[in-house]
Amino acid sequence: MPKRQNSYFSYLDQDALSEVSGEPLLSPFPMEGSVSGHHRSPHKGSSVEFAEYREYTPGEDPKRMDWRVYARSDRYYLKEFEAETNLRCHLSIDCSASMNFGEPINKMEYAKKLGATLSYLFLCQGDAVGLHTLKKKNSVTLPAKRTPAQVQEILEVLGPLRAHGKTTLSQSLHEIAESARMRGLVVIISDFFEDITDITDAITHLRDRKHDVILFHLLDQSELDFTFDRPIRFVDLEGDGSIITEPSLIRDEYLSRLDQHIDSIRAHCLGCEASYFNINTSQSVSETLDMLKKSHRRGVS
Amino acid sequence: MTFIQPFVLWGLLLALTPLIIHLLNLLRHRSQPWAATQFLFQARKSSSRMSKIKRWLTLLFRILALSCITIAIARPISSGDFFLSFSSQNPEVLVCILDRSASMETNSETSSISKRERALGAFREFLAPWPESKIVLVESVFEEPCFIPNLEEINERIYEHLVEGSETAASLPRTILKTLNWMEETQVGSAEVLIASDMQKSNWIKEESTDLLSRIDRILQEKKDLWTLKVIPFNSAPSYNLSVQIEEVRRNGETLKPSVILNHKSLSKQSGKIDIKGRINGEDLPFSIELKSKRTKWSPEFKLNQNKKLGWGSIELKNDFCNSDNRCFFTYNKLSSSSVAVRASNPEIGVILRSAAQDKDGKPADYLSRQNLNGEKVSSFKVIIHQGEVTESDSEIFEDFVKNGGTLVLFPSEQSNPIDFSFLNWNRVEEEEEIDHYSVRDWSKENNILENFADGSALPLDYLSIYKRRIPNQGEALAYYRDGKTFLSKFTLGNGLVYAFSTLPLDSWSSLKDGFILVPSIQRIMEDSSSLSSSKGIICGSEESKQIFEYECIDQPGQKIPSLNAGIYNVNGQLIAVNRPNTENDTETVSLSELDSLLPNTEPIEKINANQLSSLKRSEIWTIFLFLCLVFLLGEAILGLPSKSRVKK
Repeated sequence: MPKRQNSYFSYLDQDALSEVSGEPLLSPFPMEGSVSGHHRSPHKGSSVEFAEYREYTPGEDPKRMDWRVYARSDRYYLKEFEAETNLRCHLSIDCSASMNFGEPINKMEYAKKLGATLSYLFLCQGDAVGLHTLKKKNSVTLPAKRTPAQVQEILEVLGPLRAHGKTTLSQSLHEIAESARMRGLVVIISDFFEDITDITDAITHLRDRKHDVILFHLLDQSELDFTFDRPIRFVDLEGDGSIITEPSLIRDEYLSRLDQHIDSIRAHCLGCEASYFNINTSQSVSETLDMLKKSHRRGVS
Repeated sequence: MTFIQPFVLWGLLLALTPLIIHLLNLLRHRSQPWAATQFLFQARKSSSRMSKIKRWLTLLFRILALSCITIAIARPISSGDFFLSFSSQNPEVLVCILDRSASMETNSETSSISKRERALGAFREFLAPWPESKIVLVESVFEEPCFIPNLEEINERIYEHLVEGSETAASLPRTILKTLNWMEETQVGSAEVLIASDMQKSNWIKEESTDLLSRIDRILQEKKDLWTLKVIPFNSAPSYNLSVQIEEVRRNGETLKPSVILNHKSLSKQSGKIDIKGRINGEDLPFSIELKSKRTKWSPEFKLNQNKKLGWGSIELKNDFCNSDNRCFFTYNKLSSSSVAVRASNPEIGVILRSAAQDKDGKPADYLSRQNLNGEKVSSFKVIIHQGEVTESDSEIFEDFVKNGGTLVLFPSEQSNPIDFSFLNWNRVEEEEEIDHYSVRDWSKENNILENFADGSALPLDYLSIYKRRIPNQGEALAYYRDGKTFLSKFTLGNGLVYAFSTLPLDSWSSLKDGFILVPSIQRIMEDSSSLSSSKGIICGSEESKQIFEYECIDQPGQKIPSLNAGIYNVNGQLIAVNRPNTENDTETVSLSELDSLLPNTEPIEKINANQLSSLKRSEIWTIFLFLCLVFLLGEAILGLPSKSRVKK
């Protein structure tokens, strides 16, 4: 095995895998899968989970008729069970230049780790995982597959991935919403530094297409604190100019604006039943996945 | 507002430090790549106005705080009672300079209090606001600074000799300079100098005043923030005043004729006859005289006792607004024959002059040889007749002789370019043909050596034929040539007289040799010099008077001292008349604007009235600036507090 490939495996967070891998991550919404899996399906199937009784319609397979009900009520009923299927996870990673910000680990690296670990977890529980790198040029899309080799494929893409250029987050999300034919899980890892309306429109679009949407909003600690004490020229990473200012004078207003932005996304996600996680990149991937697991496990809707 | 330590005000430049630091910080900003710039733009847009105001206010408060600290360290002083001052500043020394000249004894028309007494009252009021300051009194006679422990003690006997009236003159520039020099030597810090004077011009503007005033100006400029000079002018003068002074005293046998000058300011109020009391050796003699002009010359006659070879006298007027100028004193000695010496470059002229100057017994005048020409020998003569060239040292000896009361009669040198006297020179030799000789046209026929004879006939000056002449350039002309040039001049030098002829008693020069003009002139000069009382008179308050330590007052025993009071004093058996200086009769005064122009670099000298003295109190107001500094620092701290929303977060 070449050394380069080994280094990409480092994106798989071993701690997170050991903590989270015991119990499957479940979507609260029915998913349309191709094979049997852990997730609820919109169709009835042959699992042990009772779903409902339904009156028999001539032409249907009499094999699923419940004869005990017929004996008691002299009527023909079909006993139906929940179908359990796998899901298609569309992992979307924002690759705009703003993702390069952060210390000691920048948001892009964090996103790679989180994305790679999530891919591995979903693939391990038999779900198909695809990858979308959201950038203006040379974006890469890996179709969702559930083969074990997909991890390798994803790591091969994530490994050399570099963040640069302006964000195309909302536009890319619209494209994903349009391109995914079957309902699935769309995981968005981004700092969401885009116009709030565009972001909410994209999330709404995804939800309208019955996708389960999970947002990982990555922010660096310095972005949350804004603790600078002398005049600084802030240079926009996406090339939108610069600003010389006394940080202490605008700190309050800046934090207020940032909070307002976060609250808007969170509120919109709550409204359209998307999952929102505000992630400080100083926290570990396992903590992030633990938060995800707590909200996406059996019995939680 | 003035400052005790004005150089500290340079520190105001430091007040700009916050601004400079702020600008430097802006220049020294670092670049920070940033992802969430959209919020920065929004934040700056919405908070820029308030934050800018807040930032500039903070800077302003810092600058003001530093400025206040600097000003407080410079120790500002307000003039007058500053309503915000928390403490008053006592000057280290309060200096009162008292003009104690005779003219300060003048009363106003409405009060019997003299200017000097009013000045002392003004000093008391001036000193009252500063009870803790040291008080120094400097008066114009002795000019010695004297510490006075208490204001009330100023009238006590121990200080009487410093503040009582005197009949002296004053040199205020010299007194002020001496005081300022003393203040420099003793390293006086802050000081208030108050001068009380009647601003008599003769006491302020003298020959040496220019230099003195320029030195005063320089010192005051150097100390302008520490020392202040204030003047209380008592220059109001009564509309009427009569004064008397002695010009000279002549003795003819047993008759004494002092020349008295009577000056009075307003004739209208003193018309008609006035009574004058004369005293001769303690005996009163009443006189009455009618005043015709503002300056009246009067020569009373005193008959002397045969036995009294030495004596004294006085002329006294009735009391008026200024009593110090109502009396004058004189002394007389025994008659002595006039001792005359002749010195001539041309022996022929020497013989002629010696003959012309022979005494009543027909003895020719002494010949003053070059070997005998020294100060001691020269001073033994009353009249010296000199013709010809002179060396510089000779000139100095003759000058001293004249200044000490001698009479010098000078004839020009025959040389075309001789060395002249330092006090007199002649023009070049002018020559005229024998036919068209020079002649004297006009001369003064009264009260001088060319006056008419007793029978009224005039000296035959117009018969003089003059072929060569050298016109003297100095002096008042007693006789004129036809072309208006001076034939004979006379001028005063020190206590003596100088007569200068313009031609020589030689046939080639003039007919002066014939004697009809030369002899009476020389004889009259000799008579004049012998009739002048040889007794010594000195000016009250002069250095000479201050050197008299053992004396006895004759006219008013036991009460007067020669350095302060006019009078007759017996000093080692010699009678000395001490009179007040004639300059004290001057009525001309110096205005404050004139004084300001004499001290161009000094801040305008403050002129204050006596009733304004209580407003002179000055207080130190540094505490205000310290308080303001604290206020500004508090303001800056409040502006630096985090906002409420930030605290909640």
